[in-house]
Amino acid sequence: MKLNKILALILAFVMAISMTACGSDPVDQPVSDNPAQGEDANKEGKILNVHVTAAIDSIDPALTSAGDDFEVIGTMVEGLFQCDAAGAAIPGMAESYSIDENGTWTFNLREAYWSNGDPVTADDFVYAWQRCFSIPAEYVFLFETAGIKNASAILAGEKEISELGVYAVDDRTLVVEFDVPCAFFDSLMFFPVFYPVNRAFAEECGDLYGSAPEYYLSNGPFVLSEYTPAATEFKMVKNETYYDADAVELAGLTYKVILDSQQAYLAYQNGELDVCVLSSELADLLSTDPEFLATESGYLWYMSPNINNEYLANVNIRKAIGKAFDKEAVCNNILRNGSVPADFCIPVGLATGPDGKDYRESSGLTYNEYDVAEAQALWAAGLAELGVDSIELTLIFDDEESVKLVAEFIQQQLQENLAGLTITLQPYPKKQRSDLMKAHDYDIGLCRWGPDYADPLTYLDLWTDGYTHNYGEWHSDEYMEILGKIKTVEYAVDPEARWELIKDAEQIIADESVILPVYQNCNASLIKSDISGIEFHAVGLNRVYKNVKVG
Amino acid sequence: MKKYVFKRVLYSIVAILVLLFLLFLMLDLMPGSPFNDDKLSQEQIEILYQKYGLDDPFFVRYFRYIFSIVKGDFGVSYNIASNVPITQLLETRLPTSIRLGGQAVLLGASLGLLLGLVAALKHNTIFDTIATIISVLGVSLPSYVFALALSYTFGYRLGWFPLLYDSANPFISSVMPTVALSMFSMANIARFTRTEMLEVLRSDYMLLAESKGISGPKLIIRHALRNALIPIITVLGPLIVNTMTGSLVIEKIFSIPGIGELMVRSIQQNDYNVTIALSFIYSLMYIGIMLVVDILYGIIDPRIRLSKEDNHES
Repeated sequence: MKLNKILALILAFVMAISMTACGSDPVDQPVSDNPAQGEDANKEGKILNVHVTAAIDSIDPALTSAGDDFEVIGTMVEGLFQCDAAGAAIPGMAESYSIDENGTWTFNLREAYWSNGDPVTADDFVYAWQRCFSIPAEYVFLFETAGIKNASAILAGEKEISELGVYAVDDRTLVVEFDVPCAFFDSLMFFPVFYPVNRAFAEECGDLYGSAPEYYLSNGPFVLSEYTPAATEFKMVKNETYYDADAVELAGLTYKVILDSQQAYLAYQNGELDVCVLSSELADLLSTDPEFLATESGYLWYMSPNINNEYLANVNIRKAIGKAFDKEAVCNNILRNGSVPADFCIPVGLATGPDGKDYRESSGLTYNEYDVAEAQALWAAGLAELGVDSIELTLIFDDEESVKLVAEFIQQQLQENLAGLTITLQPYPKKQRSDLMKAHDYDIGLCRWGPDYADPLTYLDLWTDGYTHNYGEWHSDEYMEILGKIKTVEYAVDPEARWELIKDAEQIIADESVILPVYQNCNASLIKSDISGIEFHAVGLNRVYKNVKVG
Repeated sequence: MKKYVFKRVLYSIVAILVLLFLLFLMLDLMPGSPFNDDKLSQEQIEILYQKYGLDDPFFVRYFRYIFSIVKGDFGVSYNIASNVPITQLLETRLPTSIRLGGQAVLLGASLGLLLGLVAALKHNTIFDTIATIISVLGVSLPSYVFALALSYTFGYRLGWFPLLYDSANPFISSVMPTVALSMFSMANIARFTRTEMLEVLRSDYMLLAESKGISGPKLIIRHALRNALIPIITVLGPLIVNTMTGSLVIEKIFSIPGIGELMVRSIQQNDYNVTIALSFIYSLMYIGIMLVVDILYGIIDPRIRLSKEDNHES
């Protein structure tokens, strides 16, 4: 009998809970008893809770290649230049600079301090840059891209690391010499591999550098306060020694690594997160939410036709394939994360030109737009030129769910719109797909490219002779000549003319349909309505928090 | 008895060595490498291989690894926490996982026992039915379903518990993960307890005890439960290990810095050293717990030890 009563009580309790659960509206829920919120209220200023979707591999600028890691490093350390909201380079550690007739840059460093009180010196840059070669950093090739003196020779093993063209004249004067001047050297400088590292401190830390807050120094807006390698949560507080500390409104940042996007969204609604990254399913569901924001990432997804294939060597066939599938449908029906159809080979938001406009805006070029009638005409012409009436091709792609859906859709549309075309789908693990394409052993490959620096060259280089990622082995003397010119001193000092050459180069890629662009990836996020000033970038630092305003 | 324990320990050591070899071999045969960034040049990859000694022959690497493990050195991570010693990675993560697993086992075992007891004592009543329904649900539904349901109800709607693990408040933020994780072992133990108890309650010696005038809690606890516990302890061993290793999904959902999440990532990114170290720890836990159970079993029920020894000799 007694047990009956207890059970009845338990049942009543459970029912009461489920009724409150059904009745309460999530919007009205008080979140005051949430620990994260309570903590905020006790401190002066706001701690921003930020969602990242993958754990951080490392915060040592020379040890990582992941975009999220770059963002985290960029939140704490500042290079010679930093990027403004539009992605253009503005002076950071460099207070001023001059370029002499040989193209040598001389930087006057500002009076700035590391978070342990040491001054930031020119030697810290020399040390950090040489360190990238000795480790070696995955992004060390950027020194070669920048054209810094002897970088290529050091990478080829022909010269010593100490011969790199970077010198500390005195504590506040840094000189950089070049083999080939680089027109976008300033915007390269906000990439973490070019950030300074305090020599004395790092040498004392040895292998421990970057493994805990006591083994890491900041010269940027925030300083690490809690961190363990591969942590699921780590914290930063405002760096009071930062030269521009007055401009920083946030009291700190808490990064939360949440792999499960559903859980992240619930946490966002509960106030445990201020910035939440959305999966494509959630992005589709929440795209009308006032706190929803889609930002372009620099990733361009494209199909690479192998020019060694007898059919794909025909430009009409390539064009027909590029035009015969609906890119809008790929973005709106399959990806549904705000991604945009790509009718170009250099993405939106990648680079700002000498005219102050985004490259895409000043170029205005589009090619391979979806047009079934035109595609069919080109297809017929191509078949006639080849003297065949049917073509069989294999499309290879990464063995991932969303990629597979896109590939299946393209296959279905191409076969429907182009009579006589048979596309066989062949998924591979990413590494294997990439190896096959590098060996030019494929027909068509669906792949992507992320920019390494904020200049169209990061894409245009892909189609030059001998480049590892020129998968399809396309070749044009005219294109090689233009790209050669773009990299010369003459054009490095004449940005307007250089920009025109870049447009010419893109025109050739379009005319020849060297790649068949599909879409430019977007990242969808939710940001609390009282937070403003997070700067999103398609290249380099994904998100910048220095100028975040609350309220 | 000594001989029996010695044999068990010896078997365990051999099992671990064989296991390490198989692990090493399987990882060696896996496609890809830890350095599979598209942007690395062949020269850079070679430098990295040399740096970490990955270009040596298989057996050189294997024996070097065995020797360093004996010294307590698991090597460094290649890419998921570049250059960080694995012992440092485990320093905070292993206790978190063990704590979570421990809490879940404790909760699951005590609730399970209680549920099973109620079901057996109130056999064929509404309580039995409810207990059975709960345990069937617990066994058949995967733990992430519970995790999501708990998150939605108690984390989001009611706001009682934080949705994400917070190392500053390990207890309150581990309540939901613990409950979700304990469901499977709770359900299993409940089912076992019920079956065993029913059998014991029907046995002759219970009838004898009852007729001797023993009744109430004393009868249940001293005579019935004690006898029913022996088989339950046997299933408890594997259940503990399953709970500890099964925290993988739960760790992902609640963003808990444990070793399950590390394991998945290390496999995906070919971080050999981390994968081997974690598999080694998992196996060590499994083999260790099985060893303890085996020995305990021998102690609790001498018949088993004797019959096993007989078997070996025959």
